[in-house]
Amino acid sequence: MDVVPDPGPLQSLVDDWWNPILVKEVRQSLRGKFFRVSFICTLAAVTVASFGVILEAGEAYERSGRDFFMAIFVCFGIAIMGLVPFAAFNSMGAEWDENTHDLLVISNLRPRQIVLGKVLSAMAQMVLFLATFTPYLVFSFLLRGMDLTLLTVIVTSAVALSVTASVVAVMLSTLSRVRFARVALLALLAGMLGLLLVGTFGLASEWIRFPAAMQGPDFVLAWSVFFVGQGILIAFCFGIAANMLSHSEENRSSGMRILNTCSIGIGIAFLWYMTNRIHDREFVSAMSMTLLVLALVPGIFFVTEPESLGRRVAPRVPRKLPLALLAAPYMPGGGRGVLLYGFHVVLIGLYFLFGQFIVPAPHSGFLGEGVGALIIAFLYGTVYLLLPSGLLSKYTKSVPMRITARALIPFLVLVFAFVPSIFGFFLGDERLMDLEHAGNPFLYIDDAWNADTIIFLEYWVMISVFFVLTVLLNIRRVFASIVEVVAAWRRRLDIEPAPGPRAEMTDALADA
Amino acid sequence: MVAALEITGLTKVFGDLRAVDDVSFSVDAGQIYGFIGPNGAGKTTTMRVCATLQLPDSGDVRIEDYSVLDDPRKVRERLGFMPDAYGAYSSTTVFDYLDFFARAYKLKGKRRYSTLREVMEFTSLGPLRDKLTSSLSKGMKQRLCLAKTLLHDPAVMILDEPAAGLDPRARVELRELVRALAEMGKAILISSHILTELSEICDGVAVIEAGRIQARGPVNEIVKNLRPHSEIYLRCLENLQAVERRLSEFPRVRGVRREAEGITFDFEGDQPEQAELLANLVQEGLRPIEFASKATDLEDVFLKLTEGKVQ
Ligand SMILES: Nc1ncnc2c1ncn2[C@@H]1O[C@H](COP(=O)(O)OP(=O)(O)OP(=O)(O)O)[C@@H](O)[C@H]1O
Ligand SMILES: [Mg+2]
Repeated sequence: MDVVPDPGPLQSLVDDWWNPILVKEVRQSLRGKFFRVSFICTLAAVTVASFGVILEAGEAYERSGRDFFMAIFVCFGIAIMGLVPFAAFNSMGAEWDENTHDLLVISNLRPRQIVLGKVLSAMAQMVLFLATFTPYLVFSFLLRGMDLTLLTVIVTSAVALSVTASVVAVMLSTLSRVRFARVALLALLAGMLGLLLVGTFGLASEWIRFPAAMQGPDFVLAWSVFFVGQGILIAFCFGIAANMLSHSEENRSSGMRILNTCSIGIGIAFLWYMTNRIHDREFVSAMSMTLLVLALVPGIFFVTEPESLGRRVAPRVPRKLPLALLAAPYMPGGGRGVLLYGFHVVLIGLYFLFGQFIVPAPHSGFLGEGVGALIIAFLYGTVYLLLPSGLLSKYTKSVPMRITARALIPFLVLVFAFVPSIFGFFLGDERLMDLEHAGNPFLYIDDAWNADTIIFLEYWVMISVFFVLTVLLNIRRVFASIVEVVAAWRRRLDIEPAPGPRAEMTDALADA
Repeated sequence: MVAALEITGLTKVFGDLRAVDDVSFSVDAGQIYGFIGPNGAGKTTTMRVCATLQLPDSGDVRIEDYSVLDDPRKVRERLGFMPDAYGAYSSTTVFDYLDFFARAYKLKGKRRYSTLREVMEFTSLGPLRDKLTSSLSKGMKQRLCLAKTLLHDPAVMILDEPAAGLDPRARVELRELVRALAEMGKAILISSHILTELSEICDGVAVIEAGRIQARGPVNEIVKNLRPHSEIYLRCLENLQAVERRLSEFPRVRGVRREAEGITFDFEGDQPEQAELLANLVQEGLRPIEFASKATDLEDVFLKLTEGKVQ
């Protein structure tokens, strides 16, 4: 007997295209217990639920379709937004438990292929569930009372959420291989999935009862925000997961930085389109603030990176100086992270300024309609992001310090907000106790937004002093980070001199 | 010519512990190199750095002149690493397991199938193709892991204690496989505690303790350096005391000690001189019935060079 018979022509044609992880996972789940058991249980649940609803319905013809749909949808939702992401988390975790992670890493499978494989296998399971549920869903439509558009919208949203949740689950699963941390991550995932399910079921039943809510431009807006937001979330989670799996000498930063700029760019393009339709200055300010969050949160990771370019990146600095300088914010290093943040702030500022042009003149003063709030948010955000990271930038080479620096940024926000209140408690100061002090950024953002209280000059002064301090603290490392890029560029020119005109001539002749 | 595997000044620190401390040696194509040392000496750590799984704190490893620091992907294409902890997927058959890694190594179509066929034949896994990997015995698992390591035809192979837990027959089989691989021109670095296994097949060894290399080179050279004299066991029909007295009078004989039935002594001479010694003994009227130069093997080297220091 031949041990390994040759593949048929068709098989070999189709076979090689698949992601290896996907092939493996599908084979495993066909042999394994988890999928079979959960599949059978879900089917049983659906059958019981549908009988229940049909028996219950009796005469209420109009309602029966909706009730039936809701019953089916709950089972379907639990399967694709609960079981599928959960299985994705476990299958990534299994690579740690089964000691196969090292084997995967040294088999030249690219980290993104591994992540993609895990996500695709989650999607394969999801598609299988979808196929199984389709007859039931169609049946609920035949029972009347369910609108086809409504049904499609709900099911499509659930499918999209299932994909997103699976990517998030895979990402969470790559964060740590320590058992204790994994339990915490699993709890976090379970909590998130629980919220997601409750929210989805709530919304779905709301839509079913008031289908009218689904008409109109607002709904289209909400739906597109929903998809754009999920797209950005998926991209980030995917990037993080692939980073966690890659060699630590590898440049893990540039990809995430480009992704960050892209997400802000997509955000701006989308908002630009919306601004033209909505024509509201508050909308412009609020959205600028949202974009600011998109610059700040990934920024936490970039500005706390170790400062040096690293021996993998330095030899790959572009050969042309202007290009090298333009690319500098996208190279690893904390100082260059500050540059990138600055660039993002400029982008957001541009959106904000142009937003002012398309929206008609303001009704109130300069700080009205969220402008002041935006500025305050920017000042606070910058101070929180760059003050601790600037102070710690010399120590971020060691991993524990880097993690500390990263954790410190959100932690300090809480400390400055709550510690003065504790003092307030002892001093008997009501205002401090109620978090009404300069350490609480949300208070002033809120105040400035509503413009109902006057913001004292001394607060402006105080925030500005901190801001200037922060800038001074970071100027040196930003400067050093640019100098490092220039030095790397010069070294590159020295080591591999660009082909001179003569060499190019001979090359051209050789080609001819 | 560059060595297939070249380790230079490799150092790896965990906190205060210098797990690997300035280790250097190289293995050429077609060579089998043994890596021996007590538990916790730093063998696995060295090997994991070679396999791009851990970063060195200083020093470098080059596989066919590609650095693990600068070209990890190139290194992975050329390197087969068999870790000591074997990783198996649940609910996966032998064939699926190998097929998965073949795909991961980008083997396509007919080529993948022919490679799988060759590798399974080489490791005699054919009859087990549909067995679940979780149901394999230790020896079978070891062979499966070796088969996986061979899929991409690596030029350099690093085997971390492949013989651990194998029965004598399986060990002999493994030894034959390793020898066959070296004959194909692969450079092989193999760590083991079972020293008799190694001494038979190794072209060279490196002895490591507490992160430092204690000795390296061909086995017989190390042995010679360690022990310039040979140890000889002598048994004669005469009574022990007389033999002992007479023996002590010969030049270059040291450390005469009595054993149950014979006498052991150290002799500082080469083989012709040993023969001469025997002839002289007979001339002196002694009647030797056993005269054996005790072979110094890796085990002695190991015990001599390492002190069982624990870091
Ligand atoms: N990830 C790690 N973190 C901290 N210490 C480590 C780590 N890996 C290994 N060590 C320590 O480094 C030293 C060398 O370990 P290593 O596993 O390389 O030894 P070994 O020679 O392979 O031993 P054995 O023969 O038992 O397999 C040990 O003291 C071990 O405790
Ligand atoms: Mg070991």
